[in-house]
Amino acid sequence: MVSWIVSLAVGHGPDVSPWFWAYLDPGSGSMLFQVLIAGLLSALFCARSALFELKSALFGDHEKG
Amino acid sequence: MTRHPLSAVSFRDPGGFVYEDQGCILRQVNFLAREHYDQLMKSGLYRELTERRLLIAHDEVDALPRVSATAYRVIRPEPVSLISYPFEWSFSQYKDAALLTLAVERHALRRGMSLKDCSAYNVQFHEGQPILIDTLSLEQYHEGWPWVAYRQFCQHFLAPLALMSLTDIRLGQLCRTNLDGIPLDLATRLLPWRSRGRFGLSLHLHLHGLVQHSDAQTRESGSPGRFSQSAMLGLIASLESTVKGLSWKPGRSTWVAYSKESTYLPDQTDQKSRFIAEFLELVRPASV
Repeated sequence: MVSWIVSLAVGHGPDVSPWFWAYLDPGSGSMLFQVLIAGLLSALFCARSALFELKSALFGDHEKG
Repeated sequence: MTRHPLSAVSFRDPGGFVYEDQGCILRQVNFLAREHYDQLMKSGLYRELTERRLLIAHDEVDALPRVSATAYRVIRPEPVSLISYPFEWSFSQYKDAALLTLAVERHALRRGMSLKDCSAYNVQFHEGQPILIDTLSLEQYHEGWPWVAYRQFCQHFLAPLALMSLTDIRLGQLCRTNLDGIPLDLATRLLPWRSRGRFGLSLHLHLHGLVQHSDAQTRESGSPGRFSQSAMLGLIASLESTVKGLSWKPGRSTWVAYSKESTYLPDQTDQKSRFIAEFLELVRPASV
């Protein structure tokens, strides 16, 4: 039931591989929480990448993050 | 049914299990994990991780599988000489283990894979460095899905590290009684109020713990959506910077300056060294 609810919440049908659910309970609250903060995380990642690009262009810093 | 002592500690993963054969530690890979295992080996991820000493290396062997009906491969991982547990680690070891786990996830995502399991018990210290020992914890990445091991990472790594750093170093011992990690509601109760001032801890422990706590309501009110790969990479980066931001400085105790303020005089130190050398010569242990 929980897997069905979460699969709907992340935009998939309930036909999720049993492999995915048999091993570890990811916590439906944790899965939904990630979906809720996805926009924020994407924005942070883009900002970080842009900053890295800018630093590379300005200082030739090729350090990998 | 437990048929072998090692089966008792390797029973949850339907993809395979660890067993011992004639003193050799082996891992059976089941058909269920075939696609995941093949992708790990063929995508270049295995080579990348083992070359960087992030994942334990293994050989595929012809040994008899423990359960033939489900066996796809049998692998022999490189032996780890000393097995240690998270509640035995120092703060810096714990932090290194957390950063290793995130580094593995970052490398895995680039090759279309992801960690399905973030147990701290999957990390061991081998040749002075943390290393992931659970080869089968890597699975194919499900595009659009959140990180299935996020809750476990927060409970196994972030919560203990935050508690050790900001509340009391001895709270690392909570891992002894919470084998699946420290529950987030307990961690947030024990953390000081100032921990809410840190963005990463606020997000991954306090808010995350709140959502977990009000699970039933959230299931109904959570808005549908997808979890993009950039969100996943953002999540890993955010967890990495949160872990890196945690530190611990030892306070005053008898042992902090023991080597400087010990009662040994130079000749007594020499005497002790000679005694230990003689003792080792007598006992001849396999490793020191």
